[in-house]
Amino acid sequence: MTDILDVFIKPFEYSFMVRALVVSVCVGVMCPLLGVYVVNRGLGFMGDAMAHSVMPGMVLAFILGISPFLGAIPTGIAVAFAIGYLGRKFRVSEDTSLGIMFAALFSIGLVMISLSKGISVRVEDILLGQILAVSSIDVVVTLSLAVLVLIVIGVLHRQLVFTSFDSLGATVIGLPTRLLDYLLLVSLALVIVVSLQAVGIVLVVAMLITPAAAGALLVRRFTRVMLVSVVVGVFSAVCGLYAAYHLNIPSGPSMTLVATAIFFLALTYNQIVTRSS
Amino acid sequence: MGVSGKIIATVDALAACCATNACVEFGSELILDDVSFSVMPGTMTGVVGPNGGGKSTLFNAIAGVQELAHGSILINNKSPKDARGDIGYVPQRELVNWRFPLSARDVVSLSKAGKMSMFGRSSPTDELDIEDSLRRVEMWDRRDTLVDKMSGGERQRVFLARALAQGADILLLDEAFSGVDVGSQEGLIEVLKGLRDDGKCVLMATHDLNTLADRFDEVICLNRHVCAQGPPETAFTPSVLLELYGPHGSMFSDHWQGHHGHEGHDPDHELE
Repeated sequence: MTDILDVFIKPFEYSFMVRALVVSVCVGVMCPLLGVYVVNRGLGFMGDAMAHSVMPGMVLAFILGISPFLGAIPTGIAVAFAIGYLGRKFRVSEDTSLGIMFAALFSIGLVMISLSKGISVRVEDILLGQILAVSSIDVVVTLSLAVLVLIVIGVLHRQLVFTSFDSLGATVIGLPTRLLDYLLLVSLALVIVVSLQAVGIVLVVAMLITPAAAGALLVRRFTRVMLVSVVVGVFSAVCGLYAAYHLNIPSGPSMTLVATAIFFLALTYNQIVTRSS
Repeated sequence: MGVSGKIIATVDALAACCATNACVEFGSELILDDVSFSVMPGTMTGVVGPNGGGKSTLFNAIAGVQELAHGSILINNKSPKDARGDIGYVPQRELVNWRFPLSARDVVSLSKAGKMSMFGRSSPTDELDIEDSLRRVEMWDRRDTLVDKMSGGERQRVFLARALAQGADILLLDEAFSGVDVGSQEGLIEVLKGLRDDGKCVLMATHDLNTLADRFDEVICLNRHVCAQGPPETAFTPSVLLELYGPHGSMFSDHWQGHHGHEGHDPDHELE
């Protein structure tokens, strides 16, 4: 019994683990909330591209010795506007322009790391996440951004759903659909930036889409999918945190693998239910 | 002249929707050229014309999402932008993201998106509106079904319920019958006729010329400009059909006059 308690409680004798837990819960809540929009609007590639594009801003912050958020947040917002503009301008398939842009920005970030000497951060930590290195300031920034985004998508829930489902109909009743689209993209950028330390640039997309996809297999209606996805997201993030601590592995892959396991359980459940009905 | 002008002005003031010399340009191309017509409350009007003839553009202009280059459109004597709530819009099915998992009730509750609400909760009066509207289109029993799982006709009813819950009195339906089987079309028409009898003004873009007389009080024939407006029985003269569909339009003319066969000499066919 005490052994089990040791596994779950003991890590939190360290303050870095308490900070890591707060950030994990934030990531577990926020990523799926935006993720259900990402999944249902087919924006997975866009989310992945956004995460990779933030790289130069983050590296610059490390080189200057300031909080990575100070580099990542403005870059993320700029990328969100660029993506929104491309989407408006080319309407149909912006995959190509998006692909070119994110690969180039990601490469610039990698080149900056190679050229700068004495940078205090490891490339793996940026790419795969290292939640155990989160500072107190990071926790404060993460919490405030999470609350901000939560208020935006909570208050504008119905308007965002309307624009996502029937953009023309939303315009006809007078909703500012363009503004709402940008708001959703900027929220997505902020959530991605917040999640970078936990899951890393390469794996943010997993926390965005995997819990949301699992949720969609378990329940049907949008708002319920949101709730269930959040439960899946928080569970994955916290389990992943424990695994990262005990097995000494990067937190990004461990959270991703827990979420993936839940996704396959949900898929099995879904298959059994559909077959028996 | 003075008297008849006054009469026309009075009639237009009563109109649910009145277009005067409306023009829409895309680049240098005139999509709508000097379009004028008016429709009254309590009528059901079919808008017919070839693809690219400007039906969707006209609906967008009425709905206030397409700017006019010249002319005006008045909705209940207001500009389309001031008449937002008066217009219920049922978009073409291709323009809706059906993958989005919403139930019939969820879709109808979107009509309340002009108000603020936390995580989309509705007030009790809104809930009543939503229930009434779903009952009006006979979809209350299907309220918790996802629209993704519904037939084309059921989806159109749900969108009509959304327009009703919004309090719209002008209903715009763009290609409402695409993907709707004939049986469900009749059901939808019955619902629309009921709404018309309640005083709603129904405008529907349609391709089906053969059923116009049974379904609509009036037709507007649109090919960039209004070729004719009036009761379906009299609006389709051979010259109007020629203007709408070119020489091939004469085939519709045969149907229209009940000559379904191609026996006998048809001078129009020599045009081909």
